[in-house]
Formats: sequence, structure tokens, C-alpha cells
Amino acid sequence: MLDPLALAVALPLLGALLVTMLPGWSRTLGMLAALATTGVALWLTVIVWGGEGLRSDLGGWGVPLGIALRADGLAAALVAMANLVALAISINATGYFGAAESSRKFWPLWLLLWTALNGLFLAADLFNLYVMLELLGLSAAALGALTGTREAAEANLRYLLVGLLGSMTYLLGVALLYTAYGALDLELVAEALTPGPVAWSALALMIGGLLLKSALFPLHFWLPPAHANAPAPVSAALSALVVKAAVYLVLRLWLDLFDGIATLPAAMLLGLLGAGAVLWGSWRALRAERLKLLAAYSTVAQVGYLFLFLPLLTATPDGAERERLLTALVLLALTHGFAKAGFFLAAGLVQKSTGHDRIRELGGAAQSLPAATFTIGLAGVALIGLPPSGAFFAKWVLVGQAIALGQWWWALVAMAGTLLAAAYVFRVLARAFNREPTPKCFLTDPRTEIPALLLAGLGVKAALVPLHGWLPQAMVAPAPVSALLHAVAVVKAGAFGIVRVVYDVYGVEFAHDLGLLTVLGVLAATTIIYGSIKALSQDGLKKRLAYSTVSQVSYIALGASVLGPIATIGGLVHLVHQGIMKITLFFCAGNYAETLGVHRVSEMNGVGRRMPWTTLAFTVGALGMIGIPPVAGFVTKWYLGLGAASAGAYWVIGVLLVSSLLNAAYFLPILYRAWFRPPPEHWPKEPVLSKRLETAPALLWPPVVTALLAVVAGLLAAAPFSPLEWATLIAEREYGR
Amino acid sequence: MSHEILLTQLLYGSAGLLFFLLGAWSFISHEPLWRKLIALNIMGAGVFHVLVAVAYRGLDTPPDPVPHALVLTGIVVAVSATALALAFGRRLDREEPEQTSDIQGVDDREDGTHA
Amino acid sequence: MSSSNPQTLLIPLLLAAIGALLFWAFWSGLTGHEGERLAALALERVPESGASNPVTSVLLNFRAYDTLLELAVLLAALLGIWSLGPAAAPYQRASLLLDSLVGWVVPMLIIAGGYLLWIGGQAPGGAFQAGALLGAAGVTLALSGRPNAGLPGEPWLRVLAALGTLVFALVGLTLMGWGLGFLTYPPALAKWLILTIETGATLSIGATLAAAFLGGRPRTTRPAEP
Repeated sequence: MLDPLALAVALPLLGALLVTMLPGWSRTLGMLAALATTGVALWLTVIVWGGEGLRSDLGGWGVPLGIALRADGLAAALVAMANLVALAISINATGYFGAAESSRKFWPLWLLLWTALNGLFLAADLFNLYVMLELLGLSAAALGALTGTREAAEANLRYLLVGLLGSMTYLLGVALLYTAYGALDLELVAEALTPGPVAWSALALMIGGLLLKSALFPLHFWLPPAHANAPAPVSAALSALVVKAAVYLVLRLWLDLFDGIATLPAAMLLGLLGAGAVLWGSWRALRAERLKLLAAYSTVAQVGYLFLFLPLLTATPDGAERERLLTALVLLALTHGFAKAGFFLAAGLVQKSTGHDRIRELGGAAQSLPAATFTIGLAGVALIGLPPSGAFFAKWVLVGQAIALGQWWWALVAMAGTLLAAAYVFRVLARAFNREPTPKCFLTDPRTEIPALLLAGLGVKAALVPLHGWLPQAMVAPAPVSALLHAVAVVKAGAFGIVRVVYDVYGVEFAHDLGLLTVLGVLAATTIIYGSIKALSQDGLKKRLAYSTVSQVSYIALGASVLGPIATIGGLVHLVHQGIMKITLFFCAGNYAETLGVHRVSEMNGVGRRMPWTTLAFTVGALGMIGIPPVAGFVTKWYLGLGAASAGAYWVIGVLLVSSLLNAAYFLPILYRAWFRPPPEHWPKEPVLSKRLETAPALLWPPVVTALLAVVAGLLAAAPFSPLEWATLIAEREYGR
Repeated sequence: MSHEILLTQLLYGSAGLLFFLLGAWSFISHEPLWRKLIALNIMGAGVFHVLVAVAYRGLDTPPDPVPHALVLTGIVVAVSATALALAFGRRLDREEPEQTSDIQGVDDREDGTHA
Repeated sequence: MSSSNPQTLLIPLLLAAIGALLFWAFWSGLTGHEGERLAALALERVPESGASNPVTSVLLNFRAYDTLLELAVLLAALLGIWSLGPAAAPYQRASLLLDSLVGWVVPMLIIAGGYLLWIGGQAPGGAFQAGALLGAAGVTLALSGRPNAGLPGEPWLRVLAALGTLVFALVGLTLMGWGLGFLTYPPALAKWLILTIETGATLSIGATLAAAFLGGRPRTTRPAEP
């Protein structure tokens, strides 16, 4: 009856028309259309996820005469991401544009862009794709120029012209295909296509035109100014969605239409351009002076990553490996979509409240907009590719497969890009987190901040959604149980990608010969000791905790360098446990600052009597950091030690002991002061946050809960489904092969 | 297929390809906006020529309607795009920026220094 | 002029090489495919489509979805033009000679447009052609000095611009609601549905083209918004 595919395109279109005719109601009607469209899109995704691909023959004529719409796993995944991002952008836009003139200009064009996006992902007809591409390009260019500045107009005119060149080229390819095969439907032409001058020309023309639109290096020149000068919600849409749509099309044509025609050398060429994009884009992002320009160059780099997958996909024969590679690619695309959108929305808020987005001068502003800065941090995690973001797993699959196929240079590029990304993200964050006091409220402008936060969060969590059932090759749905297993499989692939890489890259004998592992181990050990020593000398509580983190994170490097499975398990699990404990400690530090104005260890005398629960949570966290049972930290240090002993690396045990002693040295005095020293006459400041409890409930409960978690994780270390058991299981499977 | 049909198709189609290449050359080589726009339109005309050529089936047979419909759609799309691009051009020719007060205009210079 | 000597030669050479490949591909495509492509299939289905002009059948029935979106493209362009700034200053008011000529030409254009709209079902013609004529009428009015090219004020103009697409989309959604499928016309109603859609589209296209010619937001007597 109701056709979700057609509705996904018709609803935003209807919204756009209504908003055009009734501009006074643009925000209300716009939001209604946004909600309705997202609903239909998610409905569509659920159906496809449930196992059947969707297909709709518009007009009832069927191919080849009529136009068909099709949704397979790949399309559905992207539709879901695009619509969720678009919904968040819509909510943000109601706050960003307010109710004024600019809002009326925004909504109709925005809804038309949304129409084009959905239509593009669901299209199965080559000429229909052309019309969608044009709609997308025109509305995107018009939206980008909404700030009204001259730079925006120039940048978007350039974007428009480049886009038109690309579409025209694409259209010629379609015309050639019609000449030779007399059909416009993707599936039909794909079946009929044989290698020859027509196929090669069409490939070159269509992919070439689309490369212009996806801003693949060196055709990326139009992107940074266009995205950087657009209003923030539009930049989010451009970077996260519009560019993604073009890349999706390249992928779709490469895999479906030109399957068998697209040869490895051609794929290598695209991979090479992708590598250039990763390196050049990341480098320019590092050098960027403006937040939005940084984000735009980061998009150029991320597009490059997506193209790195192409030579690997072309070289891998059909099978489980290829499916995993495709999953990783889709995961990367989804993660970047969410993360970049969140990043731009947050950057927009920062720009609105300070009037500029120059990175060097962001410090104070970021302090007063904690939610926005947090969003940038989360999005940064996903952009760099740190666990547990989807980008992490995607990159590890990429690296693993690259090495497996012997095309190791892509792995190098990916790692270099990751390093550069870490550099430019931390450059921004370093400005934001260097001042006291902590701000009062987390959210300043909920309507703009919450969507951004959710998007960034989705970017980080996207790894946990099982993607297996969404792939084109896998039309059969996994049952819920197998879906869970597949989720674990994706995580397993990621986590043990590390170990596999270590084995493949270093190799036991090779590493021993060159002493590489020893070097890594020594570096890790040095960092552990150094971090601990610096922590000792800090009076600021949070600074002390921060240096402690530096040393703790090196434990995992230590585990990997020791190169036993047990040590590595210890290292990985340590990361999880360490996170719980560190969160507890920071929550408590925040409580002390908020409730009593206490920022320094020297001010913490007697704080245990004033705030017993918080200090109890702090004690649990501190004991865990030192490594005292039954808190979780003990388990991991035990495993690390065991692994070191079994690998014969006794010096590691020494390092562990020394660092535990140092941990005790900088945590125990705090505990002594807190519990056993008398409190001062007056606390530095004491706003009364709660009548009955020691502090406001929202401040009190989180550290208590996480402290409990830390104890539970330690106690239940041997229980099934604990991180330790799970990691051991994986290790046995891997190493027992 | 008759010789005459093939020859006609080849003639118009090749002319179309020639226009396409000519337009591409002009787009890349010429600076002013209006020249680029004309170039794009010529490229478009070229592609349309190819489609119309393919639709020809002889003097006595009705032509293939599908490419004709594609060309009509393509013309409308090209006109819309040209109109928008020209409006951009007009905007750039004006002296004062079109400011809407509630959106922040941002200094574009890459080194971030204000004027 | 072009920037450097190597570049003046390089680009044409490159394009010539690409051209050779394209010619070869076109030749191979033409000769390789001896069949009818989609022509036979389309012409066969024309009688059921509600129009006897095959191109109209393809545009408004077989590939109606494309046409719907193409109207959306037109609207997007107009909205973009409107967002970039106000319309240009009107031309000076025409002298007597031009004015009287316009007085004859514009009604003829409108009638011709109406005719093309009607005849499009059976012979070359249809919504786009008719709309183009209406647009030309608007341009003529603009050139002879009318500030709004004969178009109504902004509120009605917005309705006019969106009308064609709206009618089209509503027809499609209604048909889907009736269980037939999006834009699937029942053969008995096809002719009238096509005519309705085309009428709306003609008005829209004419208004959009004339408004686009004006180059920006319509100058109305309403004061500018804050």
C-alpha cells in the first residue's frame, strides 16, 4: 500500500512546497516534514534490515520503460545515517536561524536538498541519478551562500560550476551507455555491460564526473572554502551528507555497474588519489587557522580514506573477507557522517557566541560552552579513529586487509593520516581544556547542542551496531542472536587487528632481531614512569589525574610490546577498567570543585568528612589505580605481570611494581589528607547545592555508580561476559588456531 | 540497420561529441563567468545532440521518444542551473554584501587574521 | 589569455585524445546495438498511457518521476536566485511603439501557450513548451518596463511557483493512497490526470522562468524584513 521508498522522496518534497507557499510557517512545517521523513526512512531501514531488499516500480511500468527505486543494505544504511543527521541538523537549524528572514530562505532549500539525498540513495535509474545530482548541487550551492558574504558567494559559485561540469560529464556517460545498451536501469545495464570502448569511456566519464563532486584529491579545491563559509547547519549537511552521496554513487557504480570492467590498475589509481587526499587534507587541517576550515579539510582527508578501500575491494575475491571490508567501508562512512555533522554544529555554536572561529583564540569561549566543546571532543575521537568509535574498527580492518593482500603502503598512509588527525584534533582541544574554573551548566543552548552531542555520540558508538545484515551481498538477515555475534565479530576483528598487525608487521623473530619490541617496551615503560613522576609533583588535582592517565595508557603499549596473548589481554582490558576508574576520579574532582571550590590537593584536608560518599568513590578509584584488589585495576596488572613472566620479560614486572609504588605515592597522600586531616575553617567557596545530601544529586550519583562498577568489574572478573572472560575467549580462538 | 540511418546518427552524434569537447576546453581555459556558463551550455547541447542522434530511426519511422524526453528534462535542468549561476554572478558584481543580520559572516582568509 | 604556452597546447591535446576515445566508443555503441533500444517498447505502450504523443507519454507517464523532480530543480533554482538578493531595477518604461507591440505579442504568446498545452497530448507540445512561451511573455513584459513582468505579488507568486510540483506530488501521493502506487495512473483517468498536471506545470514553469529573469527577490511594496 504505502510505498516507503516513494514516500522518503515525496515527503520532504511536499514539505519544501508547503514551506515555499507559506513562508511564515517555515519552521513548524519544516520540522514536521523533517520528522515525517526521518520516520519513513527509519521504517524503510528496519524493513531492509529485516531481510528483504525493497523495490518500487514507479508508475507501475517496470524496467526498462519506467523508473525503479531500490533499497538494499548499503542504500538503507546510508539512508538511515543521512536522515538521522538531517533531523539533527533540522533541530539545530531551528535554533541557529531563529524565526527571521534567513529561516525562510533556509527551509525550502534544505528540504529540497533532503529530497535529493533520499532520492539519490534510493535511485536505480541512471538518468534519474542525473536529475537527483543536479537537484542536490543546486540546493547545496544556494544553501551554502546563505551567510550572504562575498566569500561564501564566490566559494559556492565555484562549487556550482564544478558540480555542473561533473554532472554534464556524467550525463555523457549515461548517453553512451544508452547508445550501446538501450536501457537506463542500473541493473539491466550492469547485466548487459561487456568490456570495450563503451564501458571504459562510460566508466571514465561517470566516475570522473562524480569524483569532481566527491572532492577527491586533486579535485578537492572547491570544498574547503565552500564548506567553511556556509552557515554551520549547512556545513554539516555539505560535509557529512552531500559529499558522502557522491562517494556512495562512485561506490555503487564501481561495485554494481562496472563490476568486472573496473580493473585493479584503475582502482589503484583511485586509491593513490585517496592516499593523496588523506595526507594533503590532514596536513592542511593541521595548518588551518579556523575551526570550520579545519573541519572542511578533515572531510577531504576522510573522503580519501573511503577511496583507499577501493583497490582492496577490487583485489579481494568475493567472500567473507570482502564482506568485512565492505562493512568497514560503510562503517567508516557512517561514523564520519555522524561525527563531522556533530563537529560542524558544535563549531557553529562556538562561532555564534564568540563571533569568530579562530582556533588560536578559542580558549575562553570553549570553557563557557562545555557541551559544544565536549561534542568537538567526541567527534574528534571518531575522526581520529580511537576506540570504541566505528572509525577505529574500520581502519583496523583496512590496515589488516592491506597487509594481508600485500598492499602494505595503504596501511602506512592510514596510520600517517591517523597521526595527523590526532594532531589537529588535540590542537583544538588543547585550547579548550586549559583553564579553571569549570563552568556551571553543561548545556548553554540545548536546541543547538543536543543534536550535535547526539550525532557525535553516534559517531563514537556506531561500531556497536551490527552491520552485517545491511550489506548488498548479504540479503539474508541475521537473526537477533547471530546479529549479536556479528557485532562481537566486528569488535573482535578490530581489537585483534591490533594483535594481528603486531604479528604481521613485527613478526616475532623479526622484531627480536631488530630489537623493535624492546624499543617499544622501553618507550612504554619510560612513559609510565615519567607520567607517574610528573603526577607526584602536581598540586592541582585534575592535573595530577591527567598525568596519571598518561602513564596508565602506556600500559597497553607495554602489553603489546611484551607480545604475549596474556599480556595483550591485560593491556586491552586495562583500557576498559582504567576508563571506569578514571571517570570516577574525575567526577569526584569535579564535585570537590563545584561543592567546595577545592581545586588543589593541598586544599583537600578533611574533605572526607564533608563529602563522605564522594570521597569513598574517590578512594575506590584511587585503590584501583594503584592495583589493589578487589578493584578492577588489580586484575589487569595481574594479567600483565603473568604475561610478562610467561614471555620471560621479567623487567616488565619490575616496571609494573615501580609504577604501582609511584601510583601509591601520589594517591595515598590524597586519601590520607581527605580522611585523616582536620578540615579548614572555611572552604574556598561553598554554594549550598543540596539541603540533605552532601552535594547536588546529579553530581553525587555518577561517581558513586562508576565506583561501584569498578568494584563489580574487579569482583566479577571471572564471570562470563566480563571484559576479561570475553577477551580470553577471543585470545583462545585466535591463538589456538 | 540501414546505412542512411547509421550515417545520420553518426553525423549528429559526432557533432555532439565535438560540442562537448569544445565546451570542456572553453570551460577550462576561459576565466569570465559568462564564458564558463556558455561553455557549460555548449557541453550540454553536445550531450543532447548525442541523445537526439540516437533517437533517430529513419525518415518514415517515429523516433525513439525516450531520449527526446531525456533531452527535454536536460534542457530544463540546464536552464535552471544557468539561471542560478547568473544570479550568483550578479551578486558578485554588486558592491555591498547581502547581509542577513542573524547569520555570522566569517573572515575567510586562511591565516585567520582579521582585516 | 591562457597562462602559459605548454598549457595552451596540453589541454586541447588531452581533450583531443579523450575525443578520439569517445568517438570510438560512440561508433562501437551505435554499430554494436542493432536493435530498437527502448523505442519499440515505448511506442507499444503509448495507447495505454493517456496521451498519443509518445514524448508526452514518456515524460508524464512512464518517466513521470523524473519530470516531478525536474520541476523541483526549477523551483530550487528560483529559491536560490531569490535568496541571493533583490531583483534588478526595472527597465525604463517602454515608448508607445514598443508598448503597443507588447500589447499584441503578450496575449498571442499566452494563447499559443494554451494551445501548445492542449495539443501536447497529441502532437509535439506540452507543459514545458507552453511554459516557455508564458515565460517569454513575462520576459517581454519585463523588457518593456513593467517591474514585475506581469507577475503577481510575492505571496501569490510563491504559490504559482510551487503549484506545478505540488499538483504533481499530490496526484502521486493520492494514487499511492488509493493503493495504485506512486504516480501509477489508472488507464481510464490517465488523460485527465496528465492534463491536470500539465496545466499546473505550465503555470509554474511560466511564472518561474519570468521570475528568474527578474533576477532576484520580487520588489514589492512590503518593507524589507528585519
